Amino acid sequence: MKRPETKQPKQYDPKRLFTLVAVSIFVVEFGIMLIFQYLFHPIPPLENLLDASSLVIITYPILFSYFFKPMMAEMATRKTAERELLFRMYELKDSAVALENEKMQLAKVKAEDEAMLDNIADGVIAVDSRGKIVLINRAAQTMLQCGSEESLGKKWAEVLLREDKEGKPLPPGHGAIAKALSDGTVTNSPGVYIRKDKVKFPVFRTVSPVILNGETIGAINVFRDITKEDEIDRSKSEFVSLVSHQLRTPTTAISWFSKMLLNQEVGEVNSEQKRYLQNIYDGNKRMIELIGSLLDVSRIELGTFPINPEVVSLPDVCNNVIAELKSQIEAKKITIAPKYQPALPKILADPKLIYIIFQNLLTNAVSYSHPKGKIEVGVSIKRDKDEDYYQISVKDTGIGISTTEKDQIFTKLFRTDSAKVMISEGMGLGLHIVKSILARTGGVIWFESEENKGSTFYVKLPLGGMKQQEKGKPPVVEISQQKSA
Amino acid sequence: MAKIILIVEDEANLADALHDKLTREGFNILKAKNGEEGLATAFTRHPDLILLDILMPKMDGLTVLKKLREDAWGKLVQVIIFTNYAEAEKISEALSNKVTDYLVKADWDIDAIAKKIKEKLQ
Repeated sequence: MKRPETKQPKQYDPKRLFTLVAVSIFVVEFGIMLIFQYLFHPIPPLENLLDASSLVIITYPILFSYFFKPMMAEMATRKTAERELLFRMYELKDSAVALENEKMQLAKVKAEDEAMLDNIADGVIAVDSRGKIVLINRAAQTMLQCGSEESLGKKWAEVLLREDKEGKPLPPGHGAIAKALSDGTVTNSPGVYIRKDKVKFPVFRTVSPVILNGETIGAINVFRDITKEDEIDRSKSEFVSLVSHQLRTPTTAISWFSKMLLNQEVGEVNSEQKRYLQNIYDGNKRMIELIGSLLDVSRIELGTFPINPEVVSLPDVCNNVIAELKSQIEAKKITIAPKYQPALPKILADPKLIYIIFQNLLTNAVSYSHPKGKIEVGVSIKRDKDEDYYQISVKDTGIGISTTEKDQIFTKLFRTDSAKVMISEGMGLGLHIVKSILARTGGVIWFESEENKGSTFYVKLPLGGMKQQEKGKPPVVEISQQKSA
Repeated sequence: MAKIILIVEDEANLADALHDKLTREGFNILKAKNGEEGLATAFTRHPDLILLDILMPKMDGLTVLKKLREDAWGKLVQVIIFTNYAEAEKISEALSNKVTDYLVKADWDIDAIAKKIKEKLQ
């Protein structure tokens, strides 16, 4: 017979049932027999009793193994199962409580993070990989006059209206966020945003991609309103411009009158008087030049100079500048060797700006060369990846630039220590002016230098030249970095 | 007969320098202290050349030029816009006229100015 170990406590095993019935019948029968015996034979006959007991003794093991034992086993199993269940229940309850706590904790942290983001004074807009806005903090909402419900989930170009450098609205797909999402470019530059009520305001924005596990999952734009800063800049520049104009009148007068005296137009002048007058005239001339530089800088900062391209021959302009520096070059016995690519095509560019570029680079090279130094000037077309461009190079064997000062070379009003030693006057504006011009016209300037050995300055101009521009916006200096590693 | 030059300039010392120089060069000089005076003198005396400053009280140089060119005689007279005001783009429209020239005072030696004027009045 199969051992009844199947865990089916509720089902009635037929064998057991049969045994149970058989046993009960027997017990009843035995009981009746006993009663009869007792009634009719006061002293139970020993045999009957023996029979009965032996019957019980024989049937007990059967009873036990087929009835009692499984029943007890089952009870035990059930008891264990119940205990098990109870235990698990308690475990689950603990887990639920712990989970609930975690949830609360997370919610708290999330609320804190959101409060922080919301209260950042700069505007913060985050978009997902498809360019839909997932976050727009309070400052951004205020600045753009756009609530969170109406902006979340929309493409950023619908909410963040921007203008390009020329004041034309930027179409979606262009702009810093698009660049960040497409190739990980970080943009760190001024721009112009437009509020919902069409009011424009200048901003400074930093846009960077959000990268998780090597994948771009979105982009984030942090921007601030720089109207105040712009105004301050503007009034500074206007002040410089105003003062410079005012300064020109007296310096013009000194120039003209001292020249007429020198020319002896109002009487003879002895050699001493001539010498003094010449000093007055020369000093004044320098002042006029400096004022001119100041004006150039302020106009560049304000972006108020127009760009009027003409067909220009770069070698011609270069030669003109060299001719103007002739007296200095001869005085210092400098050899100057221009090397122009043969049959160099003319460039479409503003001649005044080209002149300023050559003038600054060549004047620096001459001023900071030692006597008998050598200057090499090159103008050629070079190729970089698939792009052709004009390259101007000016190489000297002069004082050079130290490594510590290299970063500041293009800063306004900066002059290196060795430059100051060589020439006491000079304002440190030339390279800043050139760089600003190139920033506005799509060119680049860079240099190589070693202290006491000399410097080589390179200027890159696009093959297409300069574009016609009216009074423009201030040059935007874009610091774009490609996704690193 | 000596050519007549009208100097329209509000800075007295600059006007004086030019007056002296150009007189020595053999020209007849007329002076005007502001745009209004300049325009009136131009129409009454019909000079051969006008040196025109830009930043002046009462009427600025560009307005003078515009009104001058509206006149039959004024349309053809030689004008040199003579200024320290460097905002060339404001002047570009005036320069599209072939009898109008433009000099920045501070950048020009007085001898060079005289030479240029003599060339123009050749």
